[in-house]
Formats: sequence, C-alpha cells, structure tokens
Amino acid sequence: MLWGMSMKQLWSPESKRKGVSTVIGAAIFLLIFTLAVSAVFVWTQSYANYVEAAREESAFVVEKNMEELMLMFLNSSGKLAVIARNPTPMTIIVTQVWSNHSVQTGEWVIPAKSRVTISTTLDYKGMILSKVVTSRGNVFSGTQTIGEGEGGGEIPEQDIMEAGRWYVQWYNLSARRVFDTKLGNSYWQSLSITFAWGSAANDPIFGPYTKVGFNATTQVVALGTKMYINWYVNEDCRVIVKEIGADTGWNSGAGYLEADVSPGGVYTVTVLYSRWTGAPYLTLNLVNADFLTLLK
Amino acid sequence: MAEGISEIVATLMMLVIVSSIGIGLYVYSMGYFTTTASALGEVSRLDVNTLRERFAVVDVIVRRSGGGTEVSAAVYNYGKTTVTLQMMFLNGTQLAVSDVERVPPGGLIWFNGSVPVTIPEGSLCYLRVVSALGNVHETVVVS
Repeated sequence: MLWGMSMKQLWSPESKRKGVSTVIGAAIFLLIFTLAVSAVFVWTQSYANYVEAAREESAFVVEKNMEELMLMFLNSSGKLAVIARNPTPMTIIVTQVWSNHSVQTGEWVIPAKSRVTISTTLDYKGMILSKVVTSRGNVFSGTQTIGEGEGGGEIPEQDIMEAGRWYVQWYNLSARRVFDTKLGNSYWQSLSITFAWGSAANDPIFGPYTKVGFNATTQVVALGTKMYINWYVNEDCRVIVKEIGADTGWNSGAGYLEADVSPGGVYTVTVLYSRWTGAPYLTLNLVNADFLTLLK
Repeated sequence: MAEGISEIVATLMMLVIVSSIGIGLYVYSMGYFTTTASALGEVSRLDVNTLRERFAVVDVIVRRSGGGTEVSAAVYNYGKTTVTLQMMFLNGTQLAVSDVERVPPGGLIWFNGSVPVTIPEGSLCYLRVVSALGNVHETVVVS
C-alpha cells in the first residue's frame, strides 16, 4: 500500500504527518510508563520485604515473651550448677551462664516441659549473682516463687514439691498400713520433722480420726555423694527414694537409710507413716540434702 | 516545488523537536525513577535491618577510678545480623566510648565507655546502649 503512493500523497498532511508524531509520542510514553512501572515494582518489592521482616519480628517477640525458666542455682563443690526447668511448650536454649561477672558460654538445650542440670566451671558466688541467658535474648535470674497455682486452681503436686515443701496426704486407715480414705492435705516446710501426739489409743490425730496415716513426698537436691534419712518412730514408717529404687519397707524404732547419690542430683523422697493403736510419734531427719526450690 | 520542500523541512524539524523533547523527557524520567527506586530500596533495606537487629545488655560492670567512672556492658547479639554499637549513655549523659564495636550474630562482647564524673556507689543508673542503626537497649544498673 505504502509503496504504491505518490510522493505528494506520502507527505500530504492528511496521510502521514499526524501518524509519525503519534508513533513517536506513543513510543516515548511507553518508555516512560515502563520506567514508572519498574519503579513502582521495585518499591512494592521493598515494601513486601519490610512487611515480611516485620511479621517475622513480631512472631519472634511473641516467642521471646513466652519463654520461661524455673531455676535453682547450686553450689556444687564450689562450682556453680544450675537446675533449669522449662514449664513452657517450646524448647529453650541457654547460651550463657553468669556467676558474678564471669560467663560460661555454650548451648544447653532444655526441651519443653522438662528439667536439665547445667554444670559449669564457674565459681559459685551466690544465687543473687547468678543468671542465665537464652538464645532468644531473655535473662533469667532468681526471685523465689512458692506455691503459685496455675489459673488460680489447685496447686499441682509437682509445683508444691518444687517450691520446697513436703506434700502430705492424710488417710484414714482401715487396717494397719492400709490407707483407706483420703482425709486431706498439708504442707510441711522442713527436712527435719517431728510429729508426736497423745499416746492413748483413742487420742484423735486428724479431726476425730485416731487411726491415720500419711504419705509425704518432696523433691530434694543431694549435697554430697551420700544422703542419709534417719527416723525414729513408734509405729510405723517406710521411706522410698524413687530415683535410686530405695525402699526401706515398714519400720519401727530408730533406723536410717544411706543412699548413694550424685551431688546436685534431684531425688524424690516419699515417707509413709501409719499409726494404728500405739503412741503416735515420728522424727525424721534428712542429711546432705536440701529442698529443690526452683526459682524463676 | 518550494511548497513541497518546506513541507519536508517542517516535518523534519517537527520530528527533531519532538524527538529531542521526548528523549530529554525520557532521560529525565529515567534518572528520576532510578534515583527514587534506589532511594526507596535503600530506605527499605535500612528499615529491614533495623527491624532484624536484636541485642541485649546482659551484664554491667561499673568501676570508679581517678575522678571518673568506667562502664563495661556485656552486649549479646541474639539476632541474625551483625550489630554495630555506636554510643552509650548513663543517666542521659553520653559516655566516651573507646571504639565502635561490631557484634557478630550470637556474639557477646564487652562495650566500654567512661564519663569524667564519679558515680556514687550503690546509686541507681540507667544505662542505654545505642546501635548504629538507632536501636536502643536500656537497663538499670546499681553502681
């Protein structure tokens, strides 16, 4: 078509002048439009990166705030040992342990709902000057909490024991050493117990009940290689250390249990007491042991 | 004939003028958009780095010597980017820091500063550590 036109037709204002400027204008517009779109694309991509980083940061802050550790700082032959319990449903990694202004770095993994003992080469300088730092940047040190219930309900047995107390459950006996009906609970706060009462067979011990027994449980930390549990009882007591499988069976009179333990190890001690008709008394003493008092 | 030549010249002139203006506009636009995109990208990158920067002061030592006070802060980088520590303030007063410190991810360093004022023993101080990106960590210290 174009080649068939005469020169005059080609350059006539009606046929081509308008078309040329349109093409050039359109081309320039397209170029500038492309540039503008590219700039908007680059900016959008940057903004998307920023939003993604903000989302990641927000998720991290939530995880960081969820971290919680219950700690006990121990003097293990002059060195600092830390018992850390993770009550949260996520894994916590301890990266630093501090004693005064000295630090030991490492990576101690504390799985969810579990407890780990961290042994260090740092000199023990006291509970106040000890702390741990986690991989999420939290610093945990010690302020004592005792008997803190979850949701305001009944305090879990584990928390009671870890708060440095005996969890004592009282029972009515249907026969000697036969725990029948649970009567109630109490909490004792000493590792040296003296329990004595009126000697007559009909002297009540728990409310109107005269034939009663209890099951007292606590968790202790061994302070040496041998832990001793001494007792003096009329009738009858039995001592169990769960972790080492020690069970004295039922005893009367004076006796003791010598348990081979690891310094800093955690042991669950259960004492069963049964009073039938004899004079009710029990004296109990734990040596080389301390309550497992976790701090958070 | 003369009329035809002027038509061609006029058309060519028009093409030259339009092309010149178009090219000028294009070059200007290219510069503008490139600069804008680059600046926005840089701002965004800085913002992202600022967001990702995480550090905490985990221990502080305060020493008094010769009429002045030296402060050493143990700074732990628990993020995934290197943190550059720039400044330190004690109760709002800027401390003279010996050097700008860079803390790699997971790293722990002592950041030292001093102030020519003796802080009384046992007084409560607010220590603020500032990074090059402007992030701040403040902690309370008993001197």
